[in-house]
Amino acid sequence: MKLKKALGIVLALAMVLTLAACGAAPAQETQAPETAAPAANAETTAAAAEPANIVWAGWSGEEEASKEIFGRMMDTYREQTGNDVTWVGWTWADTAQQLLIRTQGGEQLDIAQVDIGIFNTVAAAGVLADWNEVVGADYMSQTFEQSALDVGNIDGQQLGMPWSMASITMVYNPEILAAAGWDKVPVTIEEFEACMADIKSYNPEIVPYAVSTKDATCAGDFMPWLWTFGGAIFNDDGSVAINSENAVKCVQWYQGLMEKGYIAMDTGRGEARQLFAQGKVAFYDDAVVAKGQAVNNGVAPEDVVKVCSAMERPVLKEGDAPQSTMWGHMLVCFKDSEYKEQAAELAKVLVSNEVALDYFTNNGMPPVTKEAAALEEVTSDAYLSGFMNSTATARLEETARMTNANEVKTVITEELQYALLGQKTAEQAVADMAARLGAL
Amino acid sequence: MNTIRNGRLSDKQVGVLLILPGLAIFAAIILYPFVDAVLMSFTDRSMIYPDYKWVQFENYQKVFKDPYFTKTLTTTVLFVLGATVLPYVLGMFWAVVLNQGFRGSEFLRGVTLVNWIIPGTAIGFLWSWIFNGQYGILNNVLKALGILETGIPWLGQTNTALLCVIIARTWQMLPWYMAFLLGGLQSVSLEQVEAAHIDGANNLQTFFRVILPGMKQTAMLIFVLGLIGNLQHFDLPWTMAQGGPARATTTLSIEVYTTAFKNWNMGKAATVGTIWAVILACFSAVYLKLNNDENA
Amino acid sequence: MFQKTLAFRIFFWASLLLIGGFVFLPLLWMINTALKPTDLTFSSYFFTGPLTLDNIIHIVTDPKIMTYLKNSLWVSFGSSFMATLVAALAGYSFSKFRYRGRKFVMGMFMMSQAFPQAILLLAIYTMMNKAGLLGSYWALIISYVVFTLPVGTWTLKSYFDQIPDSLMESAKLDGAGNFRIMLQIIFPLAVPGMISIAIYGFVWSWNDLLYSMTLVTDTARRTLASGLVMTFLGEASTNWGYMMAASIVAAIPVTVIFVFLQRYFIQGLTSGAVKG
Repeated sequence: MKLKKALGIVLALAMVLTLAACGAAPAQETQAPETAAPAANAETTAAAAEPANIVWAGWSGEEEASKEIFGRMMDTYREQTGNDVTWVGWTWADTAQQLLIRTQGGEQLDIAQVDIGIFNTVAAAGVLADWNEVVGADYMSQTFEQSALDVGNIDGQQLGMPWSMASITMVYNPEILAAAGWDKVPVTIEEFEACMADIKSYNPEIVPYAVSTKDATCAGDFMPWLWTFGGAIFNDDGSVAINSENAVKCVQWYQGLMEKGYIAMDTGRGEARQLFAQGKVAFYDDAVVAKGQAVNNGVAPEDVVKVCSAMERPVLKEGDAPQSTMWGHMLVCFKDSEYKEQAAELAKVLVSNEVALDYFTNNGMPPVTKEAAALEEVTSDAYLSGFMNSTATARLEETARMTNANEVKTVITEELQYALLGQKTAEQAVADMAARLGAL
Repeated sequence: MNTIRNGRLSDKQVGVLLILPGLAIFAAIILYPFVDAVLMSFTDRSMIYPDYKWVQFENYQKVFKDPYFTKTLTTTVLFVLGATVLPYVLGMFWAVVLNQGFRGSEFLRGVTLVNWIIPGTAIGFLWSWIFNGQYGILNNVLKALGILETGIPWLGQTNTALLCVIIARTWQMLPWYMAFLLGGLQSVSLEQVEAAHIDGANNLQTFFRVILPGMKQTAMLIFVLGLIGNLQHFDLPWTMAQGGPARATTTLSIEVYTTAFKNWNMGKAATVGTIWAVILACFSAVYLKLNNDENA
Repeated sequence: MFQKTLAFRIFFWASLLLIGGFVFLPLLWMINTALKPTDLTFSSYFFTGPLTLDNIIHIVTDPKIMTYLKNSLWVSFGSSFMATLVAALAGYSFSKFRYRGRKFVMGMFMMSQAFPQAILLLAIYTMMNKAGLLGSYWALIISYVVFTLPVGTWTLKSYFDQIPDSLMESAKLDGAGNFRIMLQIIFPLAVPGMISIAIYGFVWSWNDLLYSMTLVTDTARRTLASGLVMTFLGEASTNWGYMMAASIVAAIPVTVIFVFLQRYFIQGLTSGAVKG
């Protein structure tokens, strides 16, 4: 009878399950050794003699472009210290959330990579250790420039160790520009638009400027343009400043670009990078990691500048200072970690010349220690110099010091989208940004 | 039968004993969290800070003042209705086709179910590629056919984004409706159908007067289950559009998630959820009524 | 069931072609992309150009994806097994026993269908945190029962309702105890219903993204749904070939189970719940 057969299947499934239960439990222990040492016994300090297994979290180790480099970094750490390290990775956009969840859940977490955009949020949760106490203030001040240390310093506590500092600026494809008749980059917004018009007529399939129009990167791209037009989201005292004529002009400029087909909807950083790699985008905004994408797509590291070069953001009128946002990654150590010392060792390995140079050559990450930054390979690098020009004048994102950065950015993004889709006038969108930000 | 006693336990006791595991789990993972969430809606609980305090109705005031809250509600209703009716109708057509029992229909039925098994996130990726404005498959096909000159960013426009998500959801859930409805069709008494045909009813008349009433309970049940499933749905609007552009795909599920786990405001998220639950009481009333009808 | 009139023939063929196309073309495109070499991912040929198993091999040999797959299977089996068992007991109790509070509890079970899962998550998250389960398989297995318990209880109750009481009465007269009747006589008759509920629960857990993104942070215990998002929805350039290959590889084990069980699934979903 069919039912009996079915019952047989169910029983078989149940048996498989039971077997799996027996088999999986020990397997789980061996597979995830980091859970074997929960932070519950934070009192007991790990004996230095025993090799520790620390947990390092972040996002770059997940991404194709930097996966292998992160593997090499961890191998170097294992060789040099005899300790082990386990990588736990998320997407860039989920990192803040996952770090908060993980620290609250009490699972082992010793050191993490954080973006300066989320650094303040994580720091506000009160889960970070002071590097000055972990490795000593002397090491920090001898190794890093004061300006870099300042970014990771909150209320006198050095909660972030600089890992790389540069800017997000504009990246362009010199081959496309040349084909469209431009052998130099546009300096003013007027030239920029002329250049995009030429690119559009050279090949209508190309999106001239893949500025981000969705997800978490949209507001980030908007901010430096807002500054370029002389606007700002907040005043120095923290009150909302977005409701200004300059902000309206900036949104109108975006709308104009959209109408002329120079920019496109449904474009985030991921799409921009993908299309740029395929030669279907002429300009977009990115950090130095853009290099990693090109290398990952088969371009030799030394040839990257030919297809992917940094430029200063065009300005309103000649002589204005080009705008760009500060960008960087920091290493943070966690208060509840039992292995702060071992985590510090990993941090030291990561900023060491050898590792930093590998990261620099293959991914474009500029070294941040005084010593490594002065190396000949770094100072003479054509790719990096493009970025460093912009870094000199780079500003922190206006939301970087806010715990509700994401909420603010969401408001900006949504209203900008309304304006770009023609559902609101620029004036209306800007007024609504102001009203919603004021109500937060 | 209550009078028959067996061993030491009365039937009543056995009945209560059997319900205990269910009740325990229910209390632990549904009832308690729900009550806790309702309480949370009166606090300023945050993901970042461990401390929180009572703020009375502040969250509710904020939510009701939010100019987009009604829009979120309409988006949710549009999504829920669209993503239920479309696959329901197509699923019914498909069930009627497969019910014809032609050669290969069993195979088709099996293969159709694959859509339902592919992880929702993968379906989200697939359809966001299909609808992509720059390199999307749909645009390429339309361009090749000469229908379009330049690509349309389907997911980047407010008037098409939600539709795209609904279509993806339809693709995912059509097999599920088909499976239920096919079972419903097969449970309809063939004699009655024959009798209707002999009385001169055409196919449409037979379908609406005999077949559909004959499977009324499946038909209604699936519809309500579909509505509830879509109300809870999160994956596709999230993987395809993250609630954008300009909030066009922000449903209540997405709103609760982003408020709590992106903007760290658990109190406000709980508020949105509580309001939602209150609205849902209406749905549940319908659902319970159906259930009682069946018991009667 | 239908007279084969011209109109019906047109309807039949139109539906077969249009719905068939809608259902199967994206699926075939998925397979097609998974089999294309990486540098040809964006070319438009449909099974007519070079095909390779490289993507599939890459995914199958990727220990991380395999871990996600294993976790998903484990968590989905666990939760659907648990939910089915509990729902069967509860459904049986609702159907065949009469006691005070029964209607009330039944009503609560039904109502809870409509509680927003996203909001339950907020409290489940804090609860799992307190219980020290955050980040473990158990956090997911237990929470996924939320999806299945109400529907399952209700469906199985209708199933048991169909089984005549006389069957139990006569067994009792033969001296069988309550539990023996349940396990040896009633439950075997409800197996198709249980299978359909198990599958329902399985697929829901299998698909869940919301809970798995928030209750588990560790790569070692991440499920496929969140694993795919974390792997492929990053900022970095997306490898569509790998992504499609991963989706297919992920669908295979469940498809195999389905091929065996689909008959009971369809039969169980309908025959119990909805006769008459």
